[in-house]
Amino acid sequence: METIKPKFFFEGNELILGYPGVPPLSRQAFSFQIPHFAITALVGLNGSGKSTLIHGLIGERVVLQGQLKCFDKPINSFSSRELSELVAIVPQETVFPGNLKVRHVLSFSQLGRAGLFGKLPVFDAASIPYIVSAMELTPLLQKRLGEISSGERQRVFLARAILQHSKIIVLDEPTNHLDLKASRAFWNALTKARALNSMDILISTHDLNFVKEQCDWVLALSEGQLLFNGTKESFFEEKWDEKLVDSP
Amino acid sequence: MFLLSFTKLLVLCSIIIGASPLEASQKVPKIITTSPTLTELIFQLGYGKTLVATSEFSDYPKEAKSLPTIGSLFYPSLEKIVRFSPDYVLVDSESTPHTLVTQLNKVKLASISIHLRSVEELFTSSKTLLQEIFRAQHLTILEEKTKQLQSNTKIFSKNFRFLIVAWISPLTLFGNSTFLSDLISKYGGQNLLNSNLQAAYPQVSLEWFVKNPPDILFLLTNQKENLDELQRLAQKWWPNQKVNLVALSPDYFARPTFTPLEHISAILKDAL
Amino acid sequence: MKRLFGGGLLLTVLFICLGLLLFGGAQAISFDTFTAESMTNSADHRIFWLLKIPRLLLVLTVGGALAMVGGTYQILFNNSLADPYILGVSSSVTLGLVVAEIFLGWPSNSIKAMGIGLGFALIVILLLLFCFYFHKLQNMERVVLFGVGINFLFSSALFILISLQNHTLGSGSMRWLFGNIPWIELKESFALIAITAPIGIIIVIFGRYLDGLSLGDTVARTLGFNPNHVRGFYLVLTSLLLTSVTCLTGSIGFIGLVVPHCVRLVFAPRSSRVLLLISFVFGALFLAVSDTISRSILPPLEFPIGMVTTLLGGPLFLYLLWKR
Repeated sequence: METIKPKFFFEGNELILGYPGVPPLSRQAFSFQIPHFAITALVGLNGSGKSTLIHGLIGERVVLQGQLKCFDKPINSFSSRELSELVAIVPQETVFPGNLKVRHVLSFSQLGRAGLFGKLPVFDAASIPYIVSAMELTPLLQKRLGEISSGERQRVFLARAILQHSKIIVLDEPTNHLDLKASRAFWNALTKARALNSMDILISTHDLNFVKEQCDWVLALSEGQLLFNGTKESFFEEKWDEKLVDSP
Repeated sequence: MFLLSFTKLLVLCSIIIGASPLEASQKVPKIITTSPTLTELIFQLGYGKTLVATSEFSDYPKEAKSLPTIGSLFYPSLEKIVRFSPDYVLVDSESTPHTLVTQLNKVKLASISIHLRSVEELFTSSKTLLQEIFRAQHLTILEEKTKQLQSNTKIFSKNFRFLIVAWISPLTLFGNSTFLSDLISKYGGQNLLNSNLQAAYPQVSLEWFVKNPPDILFLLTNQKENLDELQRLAQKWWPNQKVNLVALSPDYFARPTFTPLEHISAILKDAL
Repeated sequence: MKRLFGGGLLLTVLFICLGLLLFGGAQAISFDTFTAESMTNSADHRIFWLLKIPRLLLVLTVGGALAMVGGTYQILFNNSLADPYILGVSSSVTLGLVVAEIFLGWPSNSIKAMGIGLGFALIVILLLLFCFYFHKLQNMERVVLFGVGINFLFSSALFILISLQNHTLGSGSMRWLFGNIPWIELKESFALIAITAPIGIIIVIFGRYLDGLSLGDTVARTLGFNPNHVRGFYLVLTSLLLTSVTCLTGSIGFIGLVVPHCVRLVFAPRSSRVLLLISFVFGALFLAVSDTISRSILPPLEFPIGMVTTLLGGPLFLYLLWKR
């Protein structure tokens, strides 16, 4: 029995999620809590509401009913600036201008803190943060986004999110379009990053092996409904992984 | 010389391609004109009664206003033309769209392209019209006009430099290949625009304009504001030179017929 | 070191170009004539100060503004084929000017006609904003499609009006299709700069907003930007800039599309601010050179400026693409 209740970094009360103007996935509300300092996996079939939940975390208006809270504060009470120090995201499809150089993308990570007139960091041969070399991105710094492979690009976007030095990193199906090798490289990079900075990580993924090996907490959704909210061990012991596949 | 034969060749070709040629000289041919200029010209040659239809805005002479119309200058209507079953359709080489000639050929209607880019062409085209189309017995009217022109131009011995302004902004002038420019040059004028410039109405750079003040500056307009504005510009750009500003009324000078010939002498007498 | 050399080279080229533009061209003024005291009242002096300088200022401002707006739109709509005319604001101005000239008799270079042009543009801007903010799901794509539709509609109306104008000697039509650089007075060029400079400066200062947008809306939110507010803000600014420029020159094609693209290809600027500033410089130069060429091919004839920019810019653009 734990005497200290872990603080929840992300929780939802009586939630119904959906995009305005579109009928919600489910009319039944659900609640969940995700503890601090865990790597949390968000799993579920396509269309179950994973992306919607993630978009709710970054402040988009997807909460039709109920409340979404982050560190005990409702998400819509954060200002844009506070949000940028709170959450960094590696989204599912990143729009990218092909001519932008990698090192400039990385310097954009501080846009939230720098505002209009602050100084943006410069990443060139002289000053490379450890995380960039740890993720083996040093040789890519001078290249343009259109010139590197999609696996390398995903690692660049991950590095950008990490360099934001936010409290939470959210990843929306990051290895969806990557082959096995690139996937492995990405997860390695993520693990290294987590070892260096302690931050909360929420990953939406289909890769149950990764969930088994690296994650601590699992949140499973199905058709806009909560299927499971608990530790990784109980997820696999209670065979929720199979129930997930069998769910309608 | 070449121009004369070319015009004749064109007329003959159109007649061969087209409908049955004129038989007896008593038969009055049915003519349709596709520009106000041609309408006025036909009346001036004395054959206004042959016109069955004209283009819109054929306001000169007054009698032409009552004629039925077959569409506007740039958009003549083939259907309306066909309805009148004319013997000849007169086409203005400068303004009527060339597609009309093709269409007329397809429906086997005779079309004649009239060139009026200079005073010579006016006389040549008139002569061809009188001889080939109207089968006129005598060309006295042309001979009179020629004599009148010669006597008018003899009085003017002095050479002068001129420019004719079509549009003030952007500055557009009459080129050497226009009827008006050619007419004025018969009176001793020299169009300051380079004669190599083929364009009829070139838009010219103001820098060049400032460096080349003419003796007489013509403006084709009825409105006093335009004249005042040009006056203001002339004072601004040529403060040290005396440049005569002359307004040419579009009523008399916008169409290359015999009308400008009648009115130009009086204007030039005042100006020079 | 490389940057210094590149910067120095750029400045030298700039000065040479400016020198050629001012002193060269079809009506060349020699340098000693310029400095001689006797020039005070001559035609050359008049040409220089009253004609060439205002025209140069106009051309630099317009070219730079078009390139900046084009670059901004390419980021805002995340579409490298976006050009300043995509939203139909310019064609509304042109239509307003032509309507004023045909139906009200006001010459298109008068303030009154420009007022009509501005009125049309404001209506379009309001429509675009309405289209953007009205729906619960704010979607830029819908606004772009709407703008494209307006562009088609107004361009067609323009063509119809021009075709019906069969009384004139035909010189008016060309400039509405290809743009036209008028000879303006010094005070008019200053007025243009007074209007466009503040807008341009604001666009550059807030360039960080564009950087925030460049990685997509989702990332933009986590960088502290509200993508919808940024888009609305830039929509209004760029439309105002375009309106003031189009009132004087009509729609000059190619610069807004090609110049920012080339700048991105060649320089890979580190931020949107740098991109917009470099685009401004090159857009200004490009239009200035095109203008001098248009007046030097067959003097004293002035070729429509849009033709020259397309003929110059097209091969240049293709060459740069091929090299990459």
